[in-house]
Amino acid sequence: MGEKGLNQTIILKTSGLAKHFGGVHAVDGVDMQIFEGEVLSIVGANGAGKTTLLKLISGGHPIDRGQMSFEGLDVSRLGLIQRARMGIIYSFQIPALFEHLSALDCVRITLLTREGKTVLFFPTIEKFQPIRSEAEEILEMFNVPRSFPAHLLPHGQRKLLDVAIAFALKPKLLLLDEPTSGVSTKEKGQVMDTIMPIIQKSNTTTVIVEHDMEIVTRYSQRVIVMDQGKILAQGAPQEILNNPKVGEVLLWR
Amino acid sequence: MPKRINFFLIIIGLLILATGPAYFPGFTIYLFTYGMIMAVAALALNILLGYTGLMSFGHGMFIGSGGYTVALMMKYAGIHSFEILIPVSILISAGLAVLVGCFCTRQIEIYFSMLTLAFGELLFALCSKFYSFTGGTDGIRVKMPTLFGYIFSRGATDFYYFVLALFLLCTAAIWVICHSPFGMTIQAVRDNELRVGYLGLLVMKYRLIAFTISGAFTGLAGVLAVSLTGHAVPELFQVFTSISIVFMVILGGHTSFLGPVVGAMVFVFLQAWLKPLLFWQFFFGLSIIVLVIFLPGGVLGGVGIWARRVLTRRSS
Repeated sequence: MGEKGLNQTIILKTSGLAKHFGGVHAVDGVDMQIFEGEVLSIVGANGAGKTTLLKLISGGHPIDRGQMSFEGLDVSRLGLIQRARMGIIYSFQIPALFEHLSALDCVRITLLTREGKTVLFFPTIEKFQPIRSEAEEILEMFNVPRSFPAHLLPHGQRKLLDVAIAFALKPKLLLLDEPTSGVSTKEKGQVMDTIMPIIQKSNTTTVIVEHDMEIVTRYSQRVIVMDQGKILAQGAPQEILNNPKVGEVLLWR
Repeated sequence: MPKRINFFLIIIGLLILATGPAYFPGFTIYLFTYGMIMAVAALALNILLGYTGLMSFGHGMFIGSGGYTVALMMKYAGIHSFEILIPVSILISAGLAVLVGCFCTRQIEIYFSMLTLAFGELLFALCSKFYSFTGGTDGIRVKMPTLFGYIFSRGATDFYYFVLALFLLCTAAIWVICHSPFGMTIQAVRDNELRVGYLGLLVMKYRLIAFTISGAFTGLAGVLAVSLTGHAVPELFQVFTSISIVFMVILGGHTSFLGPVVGAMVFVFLQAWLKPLLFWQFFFGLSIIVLVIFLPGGVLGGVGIWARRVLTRRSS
């Protein structure tokens, strides 16, 4: 995948992005660019600020300092909802699902949201045939059974459903927070092998937070290494693997 | 299998309601009428409790707003017809819900409940102290309104059938709302409001709309309640009314759509049967405790479990 020519249009750009919780500088002056169509991985030890960075980008946390522009517009002061509507979509590390609803309904609600149809009081949801078939298609792609309530699904499928919900919104920038965390080593490959072809086929700009260097090198075109809230190094996966500074940081994760 | 049982039970229920006046005594029919009115309120509350995940302790305020709109319009404007009273009361109740909801729905769950309780008590105090306008604690007498010139006779079954028709209409309307795109979205809010925000939806907006719809239907129940009893009193606004509706929902089962209907009926009949007893509240409380402990998930939930058990035993 590395040889696929990168589209050099910058979709998101941050400068001096910072967030602290009390005295802890979770993200401390991050300057980064995300290019349209790329798959970018963010790696780093626990507590390096990866999740916080994703939440700053998605708007889940307000920014303390710094600037951020998306598709050329300054979005630093916009909240979670506006950014989601612009197409910046975050997928949770711990699946955040509508537990009592079926997988089909979870995706259908998401599609209704995308279509701006959530304030319709009639007819019943079953009457929205295109929404239903699109939801079934998405669930089939992600390999999630449609009729079980979300809370009854095994963990691997819950992770996939979480990504499927994010993907159903047709994001311009998809933020995946550790799509394989909590999944057994054996299943990790399965989860990634399900998600990544869908992302590549739709050419969705994606940022993945990941621990597993093997997965990172296999699927991403560019890697950012974070340490203590700062960017330690960035570049192609092979460069990163050969960087001695990086090995030091990733060893004690 | 359970689906067929549901269908069967609903048909039986409808048959009893439709043919009831032929063989039940007048008082039982009165209780059925009252039960159906409260069922509308309980179904409306369940839009919030079961579908949006919000516990309102102030739904009495909408029974009160519906009831007092009727009483005041009769007293000061001389309007006696349902076709005017019902739409106006629904509009006023919905307006009150928007006003109160703007304050309450920004809060997280427990503060929402407390604020609705507080607003209910506020209106109760206002209503009982504003003697010159509302008649204070004496309340206002309400004559049975007319419908397009038709005069209902108190004690006869024509009003019963009018309530039955409205009850069926409301049940169908609430069912459609709960299964519409909006109804699905509020269930998503109930299950994970954080995620709903990450989808790009403003959670508060959906709560406010749900609260308004719920208030409007409860207002209609208020109209019918004072028409039936012939009296609008400040207690309608009060916490006992609100808690009664919550009780009905829990008793019937807030996880099933028709649970609140069953709960309302059981509540109304239980209250009526136990009232002649000395210390009736004690027995009332006791029977509620027994029902809740031995039928968790409400009466309907309990019946469902029991039916499934019987069926599996027979098939094995």
